[in-house]
Amino acid sequence: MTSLETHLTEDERQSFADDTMSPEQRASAEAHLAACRSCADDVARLTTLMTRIRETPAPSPTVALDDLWPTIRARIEQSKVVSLPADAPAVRRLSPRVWWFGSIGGVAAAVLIGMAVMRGRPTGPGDAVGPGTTPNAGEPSLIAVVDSAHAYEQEARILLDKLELRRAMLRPETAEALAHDLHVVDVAIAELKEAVARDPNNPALRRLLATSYRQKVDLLKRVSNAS
Amino acid sequence: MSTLRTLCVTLICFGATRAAAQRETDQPVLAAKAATPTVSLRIYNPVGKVRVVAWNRDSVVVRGRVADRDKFFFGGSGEGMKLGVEGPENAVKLGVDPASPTGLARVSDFVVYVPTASKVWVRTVSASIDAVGASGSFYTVSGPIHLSGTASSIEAESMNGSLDLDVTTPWLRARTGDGHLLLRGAPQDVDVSTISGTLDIATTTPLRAQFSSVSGDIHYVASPARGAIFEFSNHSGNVDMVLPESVSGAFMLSSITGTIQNGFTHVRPAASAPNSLRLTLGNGGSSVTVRTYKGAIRLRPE
Amino acid sequence: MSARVHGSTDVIATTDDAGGIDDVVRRAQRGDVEAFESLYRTHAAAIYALCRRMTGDEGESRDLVQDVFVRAWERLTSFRGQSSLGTWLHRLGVNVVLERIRSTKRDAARLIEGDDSTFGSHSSAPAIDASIDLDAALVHLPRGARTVFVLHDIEGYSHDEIALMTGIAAGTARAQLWRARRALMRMLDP
Repeated sequence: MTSLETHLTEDERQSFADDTMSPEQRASAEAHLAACRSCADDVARLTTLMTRIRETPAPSPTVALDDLWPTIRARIEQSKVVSLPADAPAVRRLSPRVWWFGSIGGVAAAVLIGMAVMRGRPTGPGDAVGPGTTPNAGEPSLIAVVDSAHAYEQEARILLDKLELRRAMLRPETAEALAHDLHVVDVAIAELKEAVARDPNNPALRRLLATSYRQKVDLLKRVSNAS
Repeated sequence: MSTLRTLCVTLICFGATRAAAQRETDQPVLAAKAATPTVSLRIYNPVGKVRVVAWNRDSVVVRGRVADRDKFFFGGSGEGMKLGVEGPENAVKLGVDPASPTGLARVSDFVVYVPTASKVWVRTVSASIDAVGASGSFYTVSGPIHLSGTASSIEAESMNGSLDLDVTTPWLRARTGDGHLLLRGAPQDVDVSTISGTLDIATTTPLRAQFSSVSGDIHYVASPARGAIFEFSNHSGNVDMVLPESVSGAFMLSSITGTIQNGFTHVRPAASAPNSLRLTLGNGGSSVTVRTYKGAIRLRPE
Repeated sequence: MSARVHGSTDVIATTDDAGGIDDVVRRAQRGDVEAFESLYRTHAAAIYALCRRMTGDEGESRDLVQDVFVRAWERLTSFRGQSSLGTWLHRLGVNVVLERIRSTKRDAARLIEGDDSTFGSHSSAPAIDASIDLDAALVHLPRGARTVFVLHDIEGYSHDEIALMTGIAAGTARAQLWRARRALMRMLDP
């Protein structure tokens, strides 16, 4: 390995400093370091670095990590597998009142429904709350599902805007498939929004709506992947 | 008659000549590069076939045929590579399939051998994708996808192509529009969804799964594993579960306006509302939640 | 269809774990988001520190913390209690960060091995204020060297483990580590 005429190799210096040398090699290296000032200084600097690494505390974030939890929770709720809670409220029978909307497509119906359900709530566009009623504020899972549906709705809008820029590039069959699938999903969303407007505290309905939004976002992302 | 026969023979010969001309102008491809075991590999082919096969070598090998006037590229280093087919415009644009001089469809077929621990990212328009033992992301607009073997993770998506997934993997995510999605093999963590295509599930290994559709029917013919947590969600399509008599699970079924049919009539269910049904079969060793808006839910013994 | 109530129908918990899974983890595995939140609050700081040191960027670290915990939620059923949850999360975090590094187009083809060829030469490292601390100095290392240094000297992975995780040869990882240490020495003690 070494002698006084040759110095420790880089491998030997580093291994000595981070204490990964075998006992035999270490004994030989120590003998060299006792006699070689240059190697000893270098190893000392490396060892100081090792100590500094061990003693340096972990970096702290500039903003509290608690602030990240709501976003994490919303992403989890988007893909969450849940069971009905044991004390799930009974599903209300559909009101005999029937809400009629113009038959100009699912999008127009959704817009009208969205306007109708927002009448009862002064703030929060996208909160699907029926007039005169509010979701049970004490039910965290319900709130979380409302949050995730709202987040998906926003994401879908952004993706639709981006899609408009790419429509001209789509092959006709792809554009047709997309239009068909979007229509299927939008009809489902419109029906669910209508049902949620009638029964806003129904967690099953809320989750169905969040799932439909998720499927819409997934569909729009698939088209983005195509280009 | 002889004129007709002559005409037919002429047409057949013409067709054969054109096909032969097409084959003659196709370019054979055989290329290889050394790669790291965990190489990231992007594969493009708009039309034709792509087959990806995992093997125990630290190299990537491609062999096949590339259509006339298309350019085959294969670049990158041991850690990240890209290979595939480009048209003369030097870009693979969605939906652009320039016609060949012979007027026949431009089709490129190739097989790519990749290290077992590699991650692939495959993109096609209508080309079929067939992968064995490969992990990564597989996307096609309308071509079929067939995946098999063992993978570390799988993501498979199509606008309207069919997906046949027969893989063993800890994590699987799959989407299609109105294509048929068939799930087999042994995936553990599953998230699969169609818009209007049928979803068929015939695997007993998932521990956590989300199966959803908007208007396609979902058919589950298996038995949930012990400790599994499943969620089925459908808007107007039906959810049909055919289960063995020995199944063990707590089933929570709810439909806003659809019907719920329980074929396990020897078990007295619990019900929290007329539109929902709670049922424990066996010792309730798994948790299955089914929600539809108006699709029917059917639970049937085998 | 009968409407009569029949007994308790609580979900039976996953029972195929070794003895090392505590109740909070078990509940989170069953889908209890509140339980998972408490795991998040326990382990977020350590995961943040890992991401911060490997990336050198505050904003990217915060994004990665979210990605790590979302991935942990998705994969929690695969945790069997054979190591501590912190160790399991840590390994998952390293994988998430390495995937992010690979997915960055600029670095995809040179994850570790393609660092600036001038790195390591004595003339290349900038002169830095002597009061700079270790984390500030880490930011100045090339990404590949920083990754190996953080994984080995701070997080305690062996060269063989680093080779497996990053896809580079163990010998290359060692060389990168030494170059990182030399560069840090020059920055911290000029």
